Amino acid sequence: MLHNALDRYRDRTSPIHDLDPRVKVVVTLLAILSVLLLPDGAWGTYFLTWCAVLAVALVAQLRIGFVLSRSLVALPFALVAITLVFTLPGRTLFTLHLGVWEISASDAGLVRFLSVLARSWLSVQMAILLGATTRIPDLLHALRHLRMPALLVTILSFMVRYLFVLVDEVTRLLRARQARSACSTQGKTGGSLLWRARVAGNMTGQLFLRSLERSDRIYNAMLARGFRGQYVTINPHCMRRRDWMALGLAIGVLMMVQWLGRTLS
Amino acid sequence: MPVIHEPMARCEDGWGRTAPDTLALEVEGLHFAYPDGHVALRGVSLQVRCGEKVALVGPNGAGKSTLLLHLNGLLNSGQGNIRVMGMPVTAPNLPFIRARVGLVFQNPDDQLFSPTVYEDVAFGPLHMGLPEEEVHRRVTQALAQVGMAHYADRLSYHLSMGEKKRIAIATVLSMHPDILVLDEPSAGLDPRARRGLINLLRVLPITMLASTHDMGMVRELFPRMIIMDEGRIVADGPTADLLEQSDLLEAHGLEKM
Repeated sequence: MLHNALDRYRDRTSPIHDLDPRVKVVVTLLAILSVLLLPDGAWGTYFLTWCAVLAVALVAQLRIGFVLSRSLVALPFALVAITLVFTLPGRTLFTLHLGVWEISASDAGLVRFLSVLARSWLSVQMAILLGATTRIPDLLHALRHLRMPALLVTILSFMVRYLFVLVDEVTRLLRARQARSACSTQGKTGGSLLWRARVAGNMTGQLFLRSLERSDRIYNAMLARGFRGQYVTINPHCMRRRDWMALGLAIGVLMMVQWLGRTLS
Repeated sequence: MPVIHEPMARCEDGWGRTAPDTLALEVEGLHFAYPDGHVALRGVSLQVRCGEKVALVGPNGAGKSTLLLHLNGLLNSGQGNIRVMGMPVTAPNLPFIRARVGLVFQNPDDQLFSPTVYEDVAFGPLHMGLPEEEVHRRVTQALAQVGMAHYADRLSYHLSMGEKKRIAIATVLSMHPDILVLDEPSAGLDPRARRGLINLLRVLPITMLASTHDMGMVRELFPRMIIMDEGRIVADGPTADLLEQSDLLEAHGLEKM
């Protein structure tokens, strides 16, 4: 149940799922870079990019609703950029009076803010597409064979593997607390806030100690199977013609969007 | 400086026949104390011949797991001698020892640390430096041996406990060890998974040393039994005989079942 909530992969048979993960990672990164490089207020090209994202989602047999609803989670982070509205110089749209302060919104600021919002929203959708069409092990392989530092990839892969074990452990701890959170008489239960905080702190410490001990055992299990400090993996992927073609096509589309964005605005 | 090794003895000759007179494992006067001062082993000596299946029983804290970790050089006491297939367990020999002794940990979540089953089973052979085709052959073979041939692409965290146990055994079988060392193999399994595991261990043609509390499994699977208590070996003999001595069993917190 929870595993499904954490694992965003959607199992389908589609040309997108079938692509070499390295191509998908590279194209996603390039696409995000391209979105970031588009000038402010180039609404037409934003829309064009969005159409491209939706087209990929359709080919990958993902529901548009799935991509859209998932992408909303990142919007609150983009709200940090709202200060732009009030700090950028430009024609004043309206003025707010906050006690002794007076802040005014500018049109240039508003355009910049909306552009940041649109860009981050598009980028998140691209990342969601990558996650929904690529299994995590394949993603890790892609990163490893794209020369990402081996230590980082190893840390990521351990995180992925043990996130679920840790979540299970937390669930067990919480359940044990719940099972003993009884109440003898009618009325308030559970003690003071300080007491609750202390219980939560103990549980966190408990979790840390368990994880530490587990890491020891895992390292032993690795040593027992001949680990000598160098992580070795097989590369199960090889670039086929259609992978190269997809890569070329994606780069072509991105360059066209860039060109349009620069000439139209 | 490179260390030059004598060719190691194997439990099997080239035709898959076991050589029953070879000593797979020799432990002499092993002492061990943990860094916090807790003494876990007080002079343990034992021998296991090729092809034998031996159970190691005793209460919690008797030193069973500590002993098992020594067999693979994961713990090193400096006191006492261990020889695996005639080769002393010393630092320069460790890479060879670890390929010979397949150590299966109690909790498969500790043993299965890769995202997919395939990568976990391939970990040992890959780190032995084998070529890719050979690694692939061994993974396929090991998974087939434990009856999990179709699980190669599965994600480890989606498996059941019984499945994880089998995969954990496959991760060491792929290294073609001479001795399989198991820490509480049947712990945490439901009756059906336990039955499947017992049947699997019965048909695996390999020398075996398993620590366990599961006396039913000991009776079924292991003709020889070693009882440990407080860091010592207190009895070593045929399982059928030892299980008749109720005084002995009771003195060390065991039940005949």
